[in-house]
Amino acid sequence: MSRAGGEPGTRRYRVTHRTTYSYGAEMTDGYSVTTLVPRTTPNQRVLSSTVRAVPEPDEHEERLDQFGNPIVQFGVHRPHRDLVVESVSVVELEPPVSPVDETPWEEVVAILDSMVGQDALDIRPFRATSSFTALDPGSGAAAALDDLTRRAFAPGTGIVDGARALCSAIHGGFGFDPTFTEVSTPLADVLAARRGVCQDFAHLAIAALRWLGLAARYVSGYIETEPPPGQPRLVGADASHAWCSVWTPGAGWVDLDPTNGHLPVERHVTVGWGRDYADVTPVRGVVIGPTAEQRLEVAVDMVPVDA
Amino acid sequence: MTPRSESVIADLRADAARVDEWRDRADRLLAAEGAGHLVHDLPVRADGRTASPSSRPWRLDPIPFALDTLVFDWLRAAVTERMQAIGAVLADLHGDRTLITGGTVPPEVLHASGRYRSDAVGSRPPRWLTTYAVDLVQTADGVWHVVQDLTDAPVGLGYALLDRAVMARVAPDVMALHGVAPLHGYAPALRRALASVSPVESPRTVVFSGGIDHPSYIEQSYLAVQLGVHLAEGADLVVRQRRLWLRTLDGLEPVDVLYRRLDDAAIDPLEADGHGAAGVPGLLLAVRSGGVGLANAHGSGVIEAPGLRPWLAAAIDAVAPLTAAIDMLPAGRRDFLTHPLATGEPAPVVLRMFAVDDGERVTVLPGGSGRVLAPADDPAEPMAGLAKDVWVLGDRAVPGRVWRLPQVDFARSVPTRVADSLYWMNRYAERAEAMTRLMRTIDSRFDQDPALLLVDDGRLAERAARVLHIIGGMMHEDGPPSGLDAALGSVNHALVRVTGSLLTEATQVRDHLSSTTGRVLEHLSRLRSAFDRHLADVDSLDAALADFAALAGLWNESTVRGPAWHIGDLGRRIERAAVMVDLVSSTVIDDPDPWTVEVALAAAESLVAYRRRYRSDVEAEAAGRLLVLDVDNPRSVAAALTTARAHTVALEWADGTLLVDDGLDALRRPLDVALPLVGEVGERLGAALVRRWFSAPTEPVAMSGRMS
Repeated sequence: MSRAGGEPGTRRYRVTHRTTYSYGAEMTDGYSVTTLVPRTTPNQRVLSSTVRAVPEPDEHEERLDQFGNPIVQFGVHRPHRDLVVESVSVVELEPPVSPVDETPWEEVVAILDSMVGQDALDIRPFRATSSFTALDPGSGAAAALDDLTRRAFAPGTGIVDGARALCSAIHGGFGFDPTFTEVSTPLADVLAARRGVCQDFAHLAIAALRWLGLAARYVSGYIETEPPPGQPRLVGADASHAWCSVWTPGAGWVDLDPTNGHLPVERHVTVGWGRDYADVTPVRGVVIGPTAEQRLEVAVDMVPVDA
Repeated sequence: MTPRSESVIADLRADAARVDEWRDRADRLLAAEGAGHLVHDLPVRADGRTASPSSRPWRLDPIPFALDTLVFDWLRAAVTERMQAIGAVLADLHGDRTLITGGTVPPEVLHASGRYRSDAVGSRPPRWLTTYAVDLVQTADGVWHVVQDLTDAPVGLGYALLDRAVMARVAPDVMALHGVAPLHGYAPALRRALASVSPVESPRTVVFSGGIDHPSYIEQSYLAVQLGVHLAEGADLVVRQRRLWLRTLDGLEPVDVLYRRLDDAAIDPLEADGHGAAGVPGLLLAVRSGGVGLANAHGSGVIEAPGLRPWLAAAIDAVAPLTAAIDMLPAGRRDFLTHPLATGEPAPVVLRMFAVDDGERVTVLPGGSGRVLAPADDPAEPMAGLAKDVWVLGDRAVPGRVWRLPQVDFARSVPTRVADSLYWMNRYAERAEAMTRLMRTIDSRFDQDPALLLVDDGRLAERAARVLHIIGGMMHEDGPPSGLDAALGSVNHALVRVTGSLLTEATQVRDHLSSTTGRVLEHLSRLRSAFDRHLADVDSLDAALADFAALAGLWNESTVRGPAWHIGDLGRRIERAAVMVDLVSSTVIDDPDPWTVEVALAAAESLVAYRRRYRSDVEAEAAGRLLVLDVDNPRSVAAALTTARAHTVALEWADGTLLVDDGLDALRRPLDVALPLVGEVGERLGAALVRRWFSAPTEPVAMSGRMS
């Protein structure tokens, strides 16, 4: 399949991500921090990206976070009942290259243990447990994680093969169920019920990789979903997506998508990465006003465009 | 030769009787000082929160922890050097990060600690540590060890100063005899150090407090008083145009330096890994833009992470090797030197020392806080609740160096929240006083003449019960009165509740009230606890009335007039008019029996005035005139409204003046028509005042988010 791009095999997409908060009362102040601008990667070029909010923000700041993700921060200081944050980005993806690295995973751990210099800053932080990937060491959940991990990473298994096996194990052994989890559902519950959504599976894979002492990061982005055969593509049917990356000495960061059982990833637009969801939440913030109630609507539209 | 510190302590211990007396006085003074800042035993507040039980006052062991000058000088040098070295470690961990790239500190340790703030990496504050504290303990061999470093928002300085204030009252002669180094130079040094965080000429500083629910609220409030600056909570502060502002009655006022008493993770809910919605949204944006100076810098708390502890010595060695190093206490080591206590077996004491850095020099407090370790205590967290003042022994009293800062005029800029609390404090005080006086009046009448209970088949007692119910504000919710005892019981209950609300509001503005007021509040809090246990008797009601009178007197005589005072006093007048409307309606209008009218006059402190004026038996109509219309009677409705009007004029609040005028106009009509109208005006005035002056925002709420 070839949608026309700049180079043969490249794909170009326009992604529109619209987040609407309805409060049902006049809020006096609203502050939001967004991670919505896609970043450039070895196989992704960002041709344009804008983020805007309605009502027009009184304050606006752009910066990079500690992992290099572009952050846009807004402040609205007048009464508002709704807040809309919309990003529109055009990105170009190179066709995925199948990564090759047969280094046994134990050797990768040893390399990480003694890693110094800039690599220690860029790679080793992703070995530390973080709030969304932490498990109580003596718990049944930890035992379940250990089991899942050891099956994929038998002694001497190559790092990419192990990651691929982990990806398949999660894809095959866990059910996709948007009704089961919420943002705050602990990983232990996901392990117990063997159900969850992409964010949970990304955290699960990260927890497994870090369990071994490997470096794994959380990736936030979008995925193009094909309509069922014969039906028109539905606007807004594409969703935000999350997957993860594992570091390898030979192939660098290797993306894997445990929700879809893919390694490498295809038709995935990367926005940013961090230790877990908390580092790259698309839109977060606080609002001040007479009510604590809010209704959230998210619409993502990812359409192929011609060059 | 025995060190002098040991002989001083031995001498003190030899005089057991005196030590006992000291301890009793110390208990009383600490209760008055400490509890005056946090009136404990507080009820559940309107919003359902309670004051933290962990903020209960501690006890002071009257035998101090004594340090010889030479030992202190050595410790001072070591603490100074350690503070600067840790500052250098912080600068590296957030700047060049050679400690990480060079392999000294594993990055996993930092990232797993939860205290390595993402948003602090790359920041270059003027100084990482403005304040610092360190816990030290001597092992049995006499060697000093570092238990822990406190770098985030070090707690305990206020307690150390408070303990010293108490000891200086208890044992001034002994302290003078031994030339104990005074602490009075420290607050100015702290003020100067805080000021140096901002490039502004005479910066405005506020203490950033966690509010009444924070475990260290006593200290936060005490430090604000010592520093002479405002105590502000998250909702008092707002970020606009990359600057930090204080919400005041006059609008937003800029803040240049924030002395934060909250941990790194709690100061800005917009931080990537911040905790919850507490703090000031956008604060770190203002800090990054230079719009406000922060002491300590954001991120400095990482040193406190337990996971970093094994690597700290190597980190210090790598960036700033120490010459006077004190080793960290090896994990598990528990053979500590013990110190005598006033009662009980000698016990180990952890010494907390404090230092401030103004960029030119480090000042170490010539004292500190000694915390007694119970047998099973973790030295990092003594649970015994027993403190020792720390004496640095000298040959003579050292004159304190007093630093002078340019004065900052904060006169009109009272935080909105403070005015809000003063307003409610006064309303509650007026209502509680009215309830107390009515209980006292009715109690004493029935006590003196129990036969009254039987008069008119008990209908007299029923009528008294009805008035009690109305003044207690329970007419509607609790149904009709069912006997005098039940009415007294429920008014007693209401009094406990209203007094609790009064104490809570007062505690939140403790830094704006005089120390004498603190003592009155402390006494009132004890009475309230007693009322909570059993029905108040006439003597304790009299004691409470004396406290209410003292509060009213202090409010009038010891409070600087300004917008906040006018607003607070408006609260008192609005409530007084409301009370009087209730009282007169339920007696003079609804039940003009001479007995009930006399009760009303007595409860309004107007019986003597009535008798002098009319020299006749009590008549309802004359009593009504005295209680409602007589401007010369300070208890009357007319007097309350006239004073309220003056406040609205002083506040230049035209809408308020018009409302009060409606009330005054109503008084020209017959009483039975006028009183409900005045009641209504009072309610409208209160609501308008809250709208006009306290449009303080509610707590921020986190925005939800979800991906699938």
